[in-house]
Amino acid sequence: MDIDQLVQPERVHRRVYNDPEIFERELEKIFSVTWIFVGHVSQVPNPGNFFCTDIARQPVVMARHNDGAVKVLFNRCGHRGAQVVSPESGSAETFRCCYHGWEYAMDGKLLAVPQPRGYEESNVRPGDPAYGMAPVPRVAEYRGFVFASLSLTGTSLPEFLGPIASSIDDMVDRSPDGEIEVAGGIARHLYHGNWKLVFENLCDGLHPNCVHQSSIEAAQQQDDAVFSDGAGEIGVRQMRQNGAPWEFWENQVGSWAYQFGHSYLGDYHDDAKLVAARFDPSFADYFKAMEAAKGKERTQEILGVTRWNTNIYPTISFMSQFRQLRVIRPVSVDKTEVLGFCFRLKGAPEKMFHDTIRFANITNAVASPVLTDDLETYARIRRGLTTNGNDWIAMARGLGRDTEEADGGRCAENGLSELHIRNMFDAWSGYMVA
Amino acid sequence: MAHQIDPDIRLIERFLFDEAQMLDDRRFNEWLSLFSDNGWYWVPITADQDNPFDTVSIIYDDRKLLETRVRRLNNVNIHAESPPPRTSRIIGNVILENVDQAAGNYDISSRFQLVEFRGDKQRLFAGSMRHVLRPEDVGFVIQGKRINLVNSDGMLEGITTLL
Repeated sequence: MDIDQLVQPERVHRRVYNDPEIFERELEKIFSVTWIFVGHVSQVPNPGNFFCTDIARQPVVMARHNDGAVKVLFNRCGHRGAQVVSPESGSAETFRCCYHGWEYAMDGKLLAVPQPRGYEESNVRPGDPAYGMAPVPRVAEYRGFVFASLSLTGTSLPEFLGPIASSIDDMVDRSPDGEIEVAGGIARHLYHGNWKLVFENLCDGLHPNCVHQSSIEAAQQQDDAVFSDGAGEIGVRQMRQNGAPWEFWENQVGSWAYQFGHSYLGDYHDDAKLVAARFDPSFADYFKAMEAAKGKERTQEILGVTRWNTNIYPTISFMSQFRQLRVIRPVSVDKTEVLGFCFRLKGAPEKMFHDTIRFANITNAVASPVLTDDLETYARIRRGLTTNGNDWIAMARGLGRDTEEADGGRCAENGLSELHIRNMFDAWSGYMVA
Repeated sequence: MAHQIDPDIRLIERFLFDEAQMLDDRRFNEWLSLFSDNGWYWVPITADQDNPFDTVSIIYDDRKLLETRVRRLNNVNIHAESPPPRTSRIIGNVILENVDQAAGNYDISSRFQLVEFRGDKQRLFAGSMRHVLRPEDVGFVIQGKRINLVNSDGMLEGITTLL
């Protein structure tokens, strides 16, 4: 069966989730071609700072060079091929390989080779790019979000992001100082399931009432008079919100989809729903700081954006209300790593950052009463798709009811549509048959 | 109160063993009742994390969230515990680290190993614990419990088991 036969208008073949050959092709045709989120500039504020991650399962390091530029290098020694940088993050004068001590600048340039005698008749010389740590072919940044592509040619980052760049604006604009920073550590977890499942789930308004029934009911039954230092306040609200009635998801939540597989859930974010923000003294301080920095009108405009999760396919999902970002890293066809980052809004009251941490503990922590039911669902999809009884997985909800938007996007009928899934597979097919 | 000055470490050990037994027996409501009205339960991601407010944690529950967590474990529709895990834990190296005379609390450190089996998978958790206990007329109340897993910053799979 050809790749283009795996995706139909309202369903996809199970092989896209469980065939190791398809997965290898995804690494080659999607993850080695398109723009992959690497990190945020605030993770490497000063020269010598570095952060290690991977692209298409290949180790890379994002580093701040002496000239102030952010570089992304393949994390591999130009000599014998060992991974050079081993802790996940830190600060260093140079990168020095553990094997024979070859030393590199933050831009990958080979600085020194210990015991250089013996290389006279060869081409090995400090500064020779052939023996440096190779930079990834393309690196670009949008408002502090660093993306890289393993392909020398292709769509530019602005073209790739298109209208979905406004979701990054939504995150950054909420800082009174116009700057955000990654802070508060990284919450990581692993699940047994295909990498696409988490993207599909994060904009799926239909699942919470079923998947999260146990935490919804537990939260609904919670006595509000019980002591909370803030953790329970945020957590219980989020669990109850997951249990919003169908009419809410149908009538008050929207879903928008864009080229290259990007999408967001909108009309959901409301500062009165998940935190008692409008009645919180720290929010009043925040409001004042925003108005002082940006003026009344612009502040209204910024805080009037009501987006929930935005997916920038195929690597990140993020949301501005609680300043969360998830990085999705495919490991194998049925194994996926997720890294949860938190952002601090510079110039905002610290209490808001504490709320960010409280929310991360409920949504991204590996022992979250919410997330653990999602992870169980992914594992059951993996098992279910091993059956030969049915080759097809539906993504039919809301089919044929989308409307075209002026910015080139599509608007779903409502927040229960599976438009975002169909949209990701439109992009998927485009990449995979290319 | 005399027992605040010179607590009997055997009574403290027995309390920790009984607590572990409640969790292995899935007597979650009874376990919750060990905590004070403003008690906290904390599993940090990094061993040296000094507070749960500015850094993410595997779990940080105040009393309200802990009640909700336990109520969910008792809910029949908890997919992540269908089937439920079975656990067996060993508590050891129990040491009275400090007696806080002003607050009337004991600071207790211990080590644990916990085997969990669910579905087709067995996992081993290990680490250290810190209990802040307040002596009562009979027994103790947990004011706070901190668990440092040895692999707390590793790539873990979903955890529903109470540590």
